[in-house]
Amino acid sequence: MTNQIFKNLIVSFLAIVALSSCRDEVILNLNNVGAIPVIESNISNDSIPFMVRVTTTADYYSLTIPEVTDAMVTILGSNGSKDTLYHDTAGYYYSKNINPCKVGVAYTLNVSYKGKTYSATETCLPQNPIDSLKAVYMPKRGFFPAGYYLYEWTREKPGKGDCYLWNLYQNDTLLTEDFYYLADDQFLEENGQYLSTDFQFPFRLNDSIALEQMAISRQYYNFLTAIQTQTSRDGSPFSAPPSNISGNISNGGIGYFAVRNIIRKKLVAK
Amino acid sequence: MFKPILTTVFLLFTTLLFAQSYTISGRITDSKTGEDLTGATVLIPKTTYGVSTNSYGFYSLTLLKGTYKVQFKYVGYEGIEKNITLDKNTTINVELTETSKDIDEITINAKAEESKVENKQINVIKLDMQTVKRIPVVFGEVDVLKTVTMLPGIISAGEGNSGFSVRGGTQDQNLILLDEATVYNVSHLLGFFSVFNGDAIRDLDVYKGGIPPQYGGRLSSLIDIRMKEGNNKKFAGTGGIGLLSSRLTLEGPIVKNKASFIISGRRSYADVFLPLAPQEEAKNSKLYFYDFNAKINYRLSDKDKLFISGYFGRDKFEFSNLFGNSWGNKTATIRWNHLFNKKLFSNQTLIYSDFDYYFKINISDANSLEFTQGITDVSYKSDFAWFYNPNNKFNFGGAITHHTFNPGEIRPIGDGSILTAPIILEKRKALESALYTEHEHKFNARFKVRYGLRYSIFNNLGSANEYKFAYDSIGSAPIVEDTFSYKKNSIFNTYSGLEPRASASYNLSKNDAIKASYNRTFQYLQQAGNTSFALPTDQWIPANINIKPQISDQIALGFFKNFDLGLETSVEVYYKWMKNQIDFRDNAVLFLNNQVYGELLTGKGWSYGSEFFIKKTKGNLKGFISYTISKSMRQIMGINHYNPYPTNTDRRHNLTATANYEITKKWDASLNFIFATGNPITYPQGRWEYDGKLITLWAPRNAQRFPSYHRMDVGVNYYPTMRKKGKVESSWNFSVYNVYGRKNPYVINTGERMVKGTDGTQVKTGIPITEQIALFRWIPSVTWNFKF
Repeated sequence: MTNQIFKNLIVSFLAIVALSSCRDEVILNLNNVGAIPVIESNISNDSIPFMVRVTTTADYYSLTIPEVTDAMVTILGSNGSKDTLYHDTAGYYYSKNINPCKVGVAYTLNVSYKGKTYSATETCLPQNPIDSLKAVYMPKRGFFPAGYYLYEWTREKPGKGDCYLWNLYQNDTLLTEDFYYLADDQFLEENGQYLSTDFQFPFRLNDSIALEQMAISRQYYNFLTAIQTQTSRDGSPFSAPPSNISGNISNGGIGYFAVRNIIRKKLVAK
Repeated sequence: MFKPILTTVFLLFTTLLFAQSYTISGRITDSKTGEDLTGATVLIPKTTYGVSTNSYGFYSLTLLKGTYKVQFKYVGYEGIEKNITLDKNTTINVELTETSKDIDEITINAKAEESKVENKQINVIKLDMQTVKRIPVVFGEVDVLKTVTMLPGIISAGEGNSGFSVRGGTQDQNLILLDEATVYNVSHLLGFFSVFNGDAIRDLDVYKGGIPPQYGGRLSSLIDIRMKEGNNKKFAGTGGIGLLSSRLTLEGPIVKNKASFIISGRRSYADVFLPLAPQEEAKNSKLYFYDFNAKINYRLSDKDKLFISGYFGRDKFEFSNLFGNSWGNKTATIRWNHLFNKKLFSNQTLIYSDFDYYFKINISDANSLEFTQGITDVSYKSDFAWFYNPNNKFNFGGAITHHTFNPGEIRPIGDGSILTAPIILEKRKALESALYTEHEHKFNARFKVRYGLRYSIFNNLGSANEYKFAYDSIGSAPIVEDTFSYKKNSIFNTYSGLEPRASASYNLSKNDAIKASYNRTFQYLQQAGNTSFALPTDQWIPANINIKPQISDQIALGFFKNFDLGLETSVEVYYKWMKNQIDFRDNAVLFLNNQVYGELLTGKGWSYGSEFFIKKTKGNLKGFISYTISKSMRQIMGINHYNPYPTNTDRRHNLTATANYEITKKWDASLNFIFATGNPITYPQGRWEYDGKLITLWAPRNAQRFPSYHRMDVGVNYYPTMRKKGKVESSWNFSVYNVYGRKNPYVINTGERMVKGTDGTQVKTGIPITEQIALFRWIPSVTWNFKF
């Protein structure tokens, strides 16, 4: 976070100092590679069908992403459950039955496409309850306008390596679309310490605020952090170097098969 | 290894013991300022006998009893010749006078000794401030490091960046010393300027290889910068007012001819323009740097001289009271030169060096915290030079440094902070020590060798927690497998190594020489940064159980030829093998990471190249042209599928030229030209989508290149008043950087095209684009300099 701020400061500094700098769009001569399958999933403890999306990589300047409509998609649970997903539309595959994820069960995805099978396994992790949620009114502070800001307290699970992801909604509109709110417990003491989080979104009086807290695996946390880093690259020399992001898909596939354990809490800003 | 050295030493003793010989020794200083002259020569014409002064102006020459004609010379100074009857040990201190601008240079009898091919060292370039000051630079700020990047084999890390690469090495492989103290961060304003104030610097030596065994700890180079000592004859001042900064230097005697001081300060005022910025936040921001150099020297007796010098510099960067950044170096050096006798010179040095970075965030009661990180060194060095006879000199000594690494501390500000307790990453401690010996031997007028050995030891000291890491696959995120705890002050890990260094020189004729060198260097600390810029946030981390020391072997061969009309040329070729080179795994977490060692990957590197250099030292037109053709590669398991890839500092061609033309006594004009192959860059080779986000698929690392970099700078110096007694001498410098406005790519961005949305904010369109940013075009500057 501090690094991010530091970077922004540098960029603004450069803008001030380098009065004669100039920015031009250029077309590069690129060696694009062929289509590689990309996998996304929406598998959780929610009572909705499992969703898997299969697409492929595109040429860099291409405006569309090719969708894979003829893959074989199955999800096997370590508890013996089996779902074969059907293609609905635009590369989206759904399960026919509704089998919400169960804590401790490992789910294995298999996607067969053009003679190759891409698989991944992820376990549904335990959650811890949201202890309290508060919306506090704050006056304007620098970049942040006046408004109600959300604070959350959660008692952290014992042991290191727990990772969390949050989604925040304002009157049922997702606010965290461009930005992952992620945290891990690296700096928290063992047992009983509160994981307190503040969300830098200003809410208005009487806004309905909904918070989703997801327990995710360390690997998925690393994957989302890398996505965050790579998508916020502004190309300045202070950005992270370009890196490809490795997920949990085998056989050279791209993307991530994630399993999320979600809990929710709502509040009205007052 | 040792046997031949001992045999040689023994032979020398036996051949010289029987003849009766005496020593002439002393110091050579500047007659106007009393400054020691480094590299001045003392010669007996028509013999092979000759020595040059060390960095304290000291020389010692042992000769058989007899009468001699002795010449004392220094480049740019009028030489002196003395007749000496040597029948006892004699001290001769000499003052040389700088050649004044008014005297026609042809009439000077002292042909610049330094220019002689036999006195040139392979891999080494000396720079004096006169040369540095005439080179046009961006914003008109004299910058020694910018000049260093014009030399063959040295490549600038980029525009607006003080970093540089020597023969394919990384920026943290350069040992930059200011009066013997390591300077860990050489950048002001994030690299637009270097921390070295041109007015406080006397001279510098740049070693690209063949580093003397006295120095170590970095793989690629040694930049040995010496501060001025201060005029011990009269009070004097120099200064300048420029567009971005102003400086003032005062110097003078404390006790005439015995003790002097110099203080020099500089401050930038870019922040003066901030209130003009359109954003409200920018108006309340701070953005400046300052630095301060001071030195005192005291001649206690003919045999003892004491120096105390220090540097303090700071950058401050605050944004609307919400964020504060500040960082800087502090160094202090106390040195004592002592002459045990006419032949044995010693130098005891106590050194302190510190770099720290501070960050503060204060956007609300909850979000208020401060962060610090840094490195602190305390060192002691003991160096001896034994001038055995005119053909044999021995250097020996040792050094010990205690390092403290502070990887980061975060503390809450006030009671409301969400941070209930400070987060303190464990400080790491280490000892780095070395012993060395070196022999300089002149076989005859043609053949000279210099060889030595350095033995370096690195100890990690407790208390510490070290980790053993496991990985799902090479290059994946580390998982702590085991933790080891070590007690306070215990040595829990040791590395050591022998570093042989050797060079030889053979004169084919008066104007031609061939030279060769080999050196091995060890490096026990490195900077954890993975951007192409060295940021103040990039912490220094020591070798430990997870990281082995970096090792480099380098061979170089050179041919030197001088022509009449003051034309000096050289060609050098080199090959460098580097082990345990460090890079970071993809998407490494480097900031505030207790287990940063788990993010590192190591492998090998190699670089090679040829360097061509032409320098014109006489006449109205002076300058140099350097051209380097080189390659620098790395191969690391976990990066690029273990395929070799070019390093960020790889440039195939690098051509620089700088010229200064004296039009009249009052006007001169200068010009720079630089051409370099574009930096290696990683380009996209496709894109994919996840969670509605556009993600770039990257081609193999550094497989493509930026367009070529080239630029021309021009400058004019005007000296309205020539030096007259008791008058202020002033000069004006006008320059234009990048005069033809080349759009050199500073960065190439990949991203989405943005459009202005209905509410005025920038909105992503999902259309992938690439764009290039060029930084400096047509930067004019004017500086007024004065001297009294």
